[in-house]
Amino acid sequence: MMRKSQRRRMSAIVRYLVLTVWAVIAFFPIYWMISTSFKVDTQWFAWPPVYFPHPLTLSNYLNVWFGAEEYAATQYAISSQKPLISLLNSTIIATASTFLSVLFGSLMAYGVSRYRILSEARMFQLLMLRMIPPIVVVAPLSLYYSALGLLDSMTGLILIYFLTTLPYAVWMTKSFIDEVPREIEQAAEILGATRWRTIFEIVLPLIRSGLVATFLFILILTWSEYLLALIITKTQVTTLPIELSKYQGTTEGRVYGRQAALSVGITIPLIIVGLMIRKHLARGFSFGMVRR
Amino acid sequence: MVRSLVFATGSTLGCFLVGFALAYLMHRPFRGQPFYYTIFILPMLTVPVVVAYTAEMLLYQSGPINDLISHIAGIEFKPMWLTNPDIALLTVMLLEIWNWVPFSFIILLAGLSAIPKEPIEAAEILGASKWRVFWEVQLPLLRPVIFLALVLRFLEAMAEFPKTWALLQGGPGTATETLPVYIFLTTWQYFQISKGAAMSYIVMLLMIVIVLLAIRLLRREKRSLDTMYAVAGQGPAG
Repeated sequence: MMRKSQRRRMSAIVRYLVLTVWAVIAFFPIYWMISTSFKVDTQWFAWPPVYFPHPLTLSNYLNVWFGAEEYAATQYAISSQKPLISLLNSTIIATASTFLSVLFGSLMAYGVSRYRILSEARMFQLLMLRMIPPIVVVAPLSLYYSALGLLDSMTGLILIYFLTTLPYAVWMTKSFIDEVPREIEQAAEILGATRWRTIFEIVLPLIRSGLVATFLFILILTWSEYLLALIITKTQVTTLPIELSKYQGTTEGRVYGRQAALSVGITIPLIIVGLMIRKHLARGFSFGMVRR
Repeated sequence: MVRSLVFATGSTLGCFLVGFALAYLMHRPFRGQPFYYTIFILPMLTVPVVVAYTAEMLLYQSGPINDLISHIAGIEFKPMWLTNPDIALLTVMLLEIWNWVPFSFIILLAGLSAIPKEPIEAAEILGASKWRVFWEVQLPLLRPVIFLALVLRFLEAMAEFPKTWALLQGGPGTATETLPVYIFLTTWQYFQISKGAAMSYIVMLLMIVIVLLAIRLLRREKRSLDTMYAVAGQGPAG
């Protein structure tokens, strides 16, 4: 008896040990990013590395986000930077495309769930939209876009994000709609509600939390998208990931503190959103294969 | 091409192994579980470009990662993660693994927790050891989810672009020119648009074949999963 409980304690200790090691691995880069964003410039790449920045400074944030007075004068300035505008762009683009995606996705999912407008095979083929590497379609896409005048415009990005995230939206909302009992809809119909009213006033409100989860899930995808934004946008419209990548070409040396300050700004919204929907993440990723 | 396959296979397996280990350790509730869960999903919520730049901050030769490893191992440990062509691909692979372990972890954890309790209990009553329960009950029941985690991860890894590009632009030399990076370079850097388009076409055909196979596999697995849930009497069918 004694031995068994001892073994159980051992295995618990091992488990905590392993989990903690990975937790450290998972968290350290994020910690480093945050801590670097508060470092003064002599500590950005000091030797030995500074693990706990001592004089904490906000100057990186002020410089990057608000262009404080020393901004233009320092060697670290990057002339084309306007992160606040990018923030606005990113917000508009991500929100609009996600909204469209969830709206049409849920309507489609309703059709699939109730009337099987798409067979199971079609549903899986829908996933192909997501599985083909975007790199192979960006060239033709940018040709189309230049013909349509959508290059370097928000509309263009919104449309393509809408299209590429639609499969996720359909699959995810379908799994929620499947759980709504049909009887409720039948009751509404008997009371004389039209189909649209049934959908918008009965079904969608019932899966509200599911819709929110889907919305946030897709928001994560569109917020961090890089490749399409890199190619479709040029100068008029930039999103935050592109803004960050402008540091790549600077020759003045490594401006880690500024980079980190910008990175933190980009990442924090995502982390908040992600933690809000952490219980639903599995559903979004697994296309109805895993349910709880 | 080969590089892409190596990259995708390596990172898929890496993600899977780590994700699976973590999921297995966490599939029964214990104290502190929500805390670990929260920490573990953080890497996934980091924007890929941010990952690339943070990696740059961490991995330069006298950077914090090498410093930490040297301290822990007690020896001078200074590989040039980013500039040595021999290990640059490995570096990107490790980053990809760091970034996407949460994905495998989440799916596998959900899958493990969704396995009906009865077969496990039955096996335990029949005197099976933990080891045998794992290999002969849990693993087979988990097969669909495992396939899902592997297939999706592999496809995503084949398409991985932002980290590789933002960190190394295919360099040093051509060490990290995976397919997407190569196509991107050809089309937008050297402006050989027709060559890029031709390559895109080939890659697309190839990927379509892989994707169709994957979809067929997933459909078959989904069906067996539906059967399992139906037998266990859990959840709605469909």
